[in-house]
Formats: sequence, structure tokens, C-alpha cells
Amino acid sequence: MSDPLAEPVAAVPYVVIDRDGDHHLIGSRCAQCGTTLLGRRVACAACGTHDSVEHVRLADTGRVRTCTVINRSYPGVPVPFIAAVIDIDGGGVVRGTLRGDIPADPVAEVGRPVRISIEDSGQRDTAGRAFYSQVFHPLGAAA
Amino acid sequence: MSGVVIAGIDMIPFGRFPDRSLEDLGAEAALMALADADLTIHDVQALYCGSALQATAFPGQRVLRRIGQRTMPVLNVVNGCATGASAFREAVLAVASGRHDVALAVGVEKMDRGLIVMPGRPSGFQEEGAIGTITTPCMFSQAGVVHSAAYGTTFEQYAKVSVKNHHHATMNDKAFVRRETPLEEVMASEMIAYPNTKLMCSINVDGAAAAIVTSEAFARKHGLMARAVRVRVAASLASVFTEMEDGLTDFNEVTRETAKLAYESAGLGVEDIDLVELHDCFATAELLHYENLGLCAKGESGALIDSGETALGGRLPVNVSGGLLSKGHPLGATGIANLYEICLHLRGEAGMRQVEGARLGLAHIVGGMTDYGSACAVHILERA
Repeated sequence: MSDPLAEPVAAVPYVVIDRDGDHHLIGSRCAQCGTTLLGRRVACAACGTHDSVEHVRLADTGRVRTCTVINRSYPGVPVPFIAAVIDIDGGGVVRGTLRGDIPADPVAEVGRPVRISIEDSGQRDTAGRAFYSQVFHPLGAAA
Repeated sequence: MSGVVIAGIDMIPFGRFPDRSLEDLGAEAALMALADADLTIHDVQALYCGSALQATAFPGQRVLRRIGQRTMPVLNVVNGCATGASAFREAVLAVASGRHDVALAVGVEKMDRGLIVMPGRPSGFQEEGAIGTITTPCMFSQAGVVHSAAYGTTFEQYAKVSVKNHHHATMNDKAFVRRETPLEEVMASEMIAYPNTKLMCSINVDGAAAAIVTSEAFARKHGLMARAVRVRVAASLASVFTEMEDGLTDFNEVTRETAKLAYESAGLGVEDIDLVELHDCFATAELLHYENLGLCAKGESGALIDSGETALGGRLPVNVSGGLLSKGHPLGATGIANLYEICLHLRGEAGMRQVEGARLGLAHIVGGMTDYGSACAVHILERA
């Protein structure tokens, strides 16, 4: 088992590792058109304005926009798992793995509220640091 | 796009050719297209070669060395699943601009079996499974789920796409899969990513297709107009912004925008189109593109497949070639193979699957990669 106390490192560029453990997703909000994008951007992808983008912390809750159950993945990757796209409360969209029971009908999962948690993926980099990435936990029934 | 024609076009039967090289497959298709045009490599002034997986390894030059190294520029093109269509479009633009009278477009691919392993991902963190998936079926399955949640489109309606396209392919001896697949079999097939079962996924095969693009003036001067097909429009767009794309690569909006551009540029509407070859990489995609290409209103694609109007003999046949679901999907070759199918019908050479009286046909291609972006091309061809 890998060291549970390994130093955390962001597995993806839009995850922020906080020294006090308050890890979160970072996004960009355009003051011109109001669009919220995932990650730190230099310009707004939606309207093309380049001096209007402010980096903002994204919420740790959201709802399932869509998902599917992956029964075939790359060799060595355990299946099945749920690949989901989450509409983050307050703006932004992020993809990832949805924990919980494998649904018989993924369509029924659309709208389900989730908590977005930044967790140890169990993977380590060459320096032994822990890759942290987003994971989605179901909070209740789909709405 | 006035004055540009396809003077010759062909594809090799798609399949698995472990003993043949990329350049051998591309050369065969190129020579078939030249023969179809009644021209030789001596007439060709430029080569545009599409290969999605080997674009950095000079595929066009390798093909040229197989068919005759006449002095000419070669441009290797890569644009995901839109690679072949993008290479063709470059040939069209080169001729339309007056730069060349005759250009050769080749699309060619050698593929591994199974899931496409996406290139260019940073090493270290293994994201597959940890943050969802970057496998291609997922994107189209998730898009299908979005549609089902919004409009009630059913698993059965998506599955009917495979039944229809596999039926069409029984009349196409260049398709990789040429057998009927009843609805029950499609739905009971291994579930890859709901709602796409294995029989609702296109197949990774080897393939090549090629087209000879000339000016209409050249075709007239050399007596090639009898079999020529006019290129009415070559439209392409990429990575149109959508509010969901940070989580799910868009194939819908980019297709809608490209189709709109194509119809407007050509001064045509969907009501003018006699047949469509669209990008059915997965069964869910075909229904979404019915709406994106304007074949029906938003939310009505399930009813459209139920109606049978997109089957051969229906009001607007779609993928009478059998589509990618049957022909297979050798990424770089697919776009030109779709154009080949349209040309067969416009020339009245499609045999048992001929769409009677076809005058205008639309070929659509769209590709993309999770987190990265999309590329789309829509060509409208007309009987000359």
C-alpha cells in the first residue's frame, strides 16, 4: 500500500492543492460575458475577450449533466465505472468518475446532486508524491 | 466553390491487412482514383494526404514514392476523424484558388484493434478510470444520454441505427461487415458504454480512399465531364464553443454550425439533398446528427429513425453505404470514402443500393478528442 501521508500534488492542472487540506477546483470567470471555464485561462473561450478573465475557486457541489457506465477501458483499468460530467453549482463543468452503485439506467442519473471531492488517487509520481484528483460522490436522488 | 469537380474517386475495400504497409494501401487507392478519372500521376500537380495516426511520418511522400515521384508539393493533413475530409478540402481549395488544375487527395490509415489509445497525453498520472475516461465510445454515449434525458430517446431507437446501416452494407461489397443484425441482436450485444453496444460501435480497420480534384475547365478540356461530380461546397469548422466542453467534447454545435455554413454557402437547403453520408462512428451519433444537419427538428431524431425515412427507399436515405458502423472507420480514409459513396449515387453507379435520381448529396464528418477539441467538415456534391 502506498504511503497515505504522501505529499499531495495536483493530478490535473485545474486542481489546487491547499497546504491546509482545503483542496479545490480552480476556474476562470469572464467579466465581459459571465462564462465560467474550468482551469486558469488567459482569455475567455466563449467571447474571446482576453483582459476580462478572473481566476475563481469553483464550488464543491454540482449535478450530473450526463454519464455512462464504462464496461470497456484500457488494459488494466478496472471496470465497470461511471464516467460523469458535472455542472458545478455557480458555474463551470468538470468530468470525472462518479462513485456509488453502478446504475442500470444512466439516463436516470442525470440531475443527481453530487459532492466534488479532491482525493488521493492512489497513484504516486516518481518522487513518491500523491496524485490528487476530483471524485464525485452522489448526494441524493436525481432531480 | 464554382468550377471544382471530382474527376475520379475510389476506395479500397476496408479490412485488416497486416501484411500491407500504409503506403501500399494509399498507393492502391490513389491509382484506383486516377484510373477512375482516366488520368495518370503525370497529370497531378499537388498531393494532399490525410492520415490521423501517421501524419508526422510523411504518409503523402511515402504514397508518392509508390505511384511516381512527379515533382509536386505534398501536404500531410491531420484533423482527427475529419482528417480525410480535411485533406480533400485542401485539394478543393487549391484548385478553386487557381493554384492547381489537378490535385490528388488521399486518405489512408492502418489501425490497431480495440479502443483507440489517444496520443499525446502527459505521462505520470494515469487518468483513465480515475477521472472518468478518454475512450471514444464514452463521448458519444454521454451525448446520447444527454439526448435521452432531454427528449426521451430510447436505447431501442439508437440500436435501430445499427440495424439499418448493417442492412445497407449487405449491398456494399467494400464494407467490412456485410450481414444483417436484427434489433434483438444489436441490443443484446456486449454493452460497451450505455447506450452503445458493441454492434453500435464502428470498427477499427485499415483502409484507403482517394479523389482526383480538378478545375471544371480542365475536366471539360480533357473530356472528363461525363462522370465528373461538382463540389458545391467544402465547409469546415472546428471547436465551436459550447458551455459543456470542459466536461464533454462537442460534436453537435460544431456540426450545426458547419452544416449551416455549407447550406448558406451553396444556396441550398436540406430539402434539396437526396442522400446523406454522415459520421456514424457510434449509433448514438447518427441520431444526433439527424438534428444537427437539419434532417429533422430538435428532439425528433428518434421518431425519424422509427419512421424508416432514412433507410434506402425512404424520403432521405442516410448512410446507404452501411456507414462507419459497417464499412469500418480507418480514421484518415473515412472522409474520402464518404465522398466516394455520394459520387457513386450521383453517377448512377451504386448498384443495388442506388438512391434513384440522386442529384445532390451531403457528406459529413466530425471528430474530436476528450479535453482537446473537435473538427467537422460538410461537403455537398452535385451531379455535373
